[in-house]
Amino acid sequence: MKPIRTASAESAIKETRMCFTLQHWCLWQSEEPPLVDHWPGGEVLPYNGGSPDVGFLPMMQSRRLSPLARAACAVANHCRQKNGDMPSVFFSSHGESQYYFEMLDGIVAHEDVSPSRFSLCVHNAIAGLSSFHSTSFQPYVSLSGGTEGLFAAFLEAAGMLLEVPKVLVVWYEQPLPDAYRAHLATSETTWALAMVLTRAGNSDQQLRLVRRPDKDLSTAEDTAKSLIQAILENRRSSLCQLDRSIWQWSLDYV
Amino acid sequence: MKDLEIELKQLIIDTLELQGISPLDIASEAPLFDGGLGLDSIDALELGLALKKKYDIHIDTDSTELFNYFASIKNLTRFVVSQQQKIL
Repeated sequence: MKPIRTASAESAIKETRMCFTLQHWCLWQSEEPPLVDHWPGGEVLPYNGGSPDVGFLPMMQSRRLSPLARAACAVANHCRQKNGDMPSVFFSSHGESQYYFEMLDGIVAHEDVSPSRFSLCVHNAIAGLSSFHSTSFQPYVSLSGGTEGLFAAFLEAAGMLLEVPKVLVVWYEQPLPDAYRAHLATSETTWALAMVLTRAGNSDQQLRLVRRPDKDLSTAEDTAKSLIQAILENRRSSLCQLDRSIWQWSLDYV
Repeated sequence: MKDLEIELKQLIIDTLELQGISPLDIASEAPLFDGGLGLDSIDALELGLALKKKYDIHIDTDSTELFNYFASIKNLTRFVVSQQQKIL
């Protein structure tokens, strides 16, 4: 898991490399998963009629969860149940975009803002709820957007793993409100992915990431779509184009 | 008063998304917060907003009686009736 930077004197291109052991993963998405092999070492939670099962929570806790929060809390809980409690990195590019857009619409119409909706729109609300539901006393961070997309979460996890043995990374997205769609890439489904990462080793699944500060790679894929599809189709590598960089990831089964 | 009690129970259920609970499950004298139904401070704010929307009641958040108004359905019913009489 040690980030290694190498610089080429000729091109001054810096590569960043990271490697983790992917100890466990859990995915839920709002469409029926394809009936094909997925990545080993993890689970796709049942579609459950388009709403992930959060029966592990009492009603007074589950009642306020949005569809996005249900998905994130379900996969996070699954990984904590299987792997114990651990520090976590929650990542979403736009978080509760449906809620905060509705709230902005309401403000324009001079309506009062719902206090519970407002509190749940805060970007770290889902991470906080998940921590609360698990009665966890472990630290968590909540990241959004940025030019490195999800890979910012891996950088954060790499930093955490210098001090702790395992980290939970939870990534969750949903379709953006129509008003944003002309300006931003959006997911067409609601989904959440949780990954339990430990330091790189000689066993299990090694998730390798390489970042290059390049642009305009015509073969690169959209990060989210690429990774989720890869998990579901048991594809083990891909290239992802971000604003300022290209990330190459691969899953090697040792 | 009984009709208003049931109406307020339903308002609480709908506003606070109390799934699987019916007005019959909420005792009029039982505490809404601190045990009882188990509502929290965000619920209190949400409920205040719902009362404003439905009954045009503006709640004075500095009032020392605030906790008392929201203590139970019975108290809340009395409060709503008193505020409606003020409006009339």
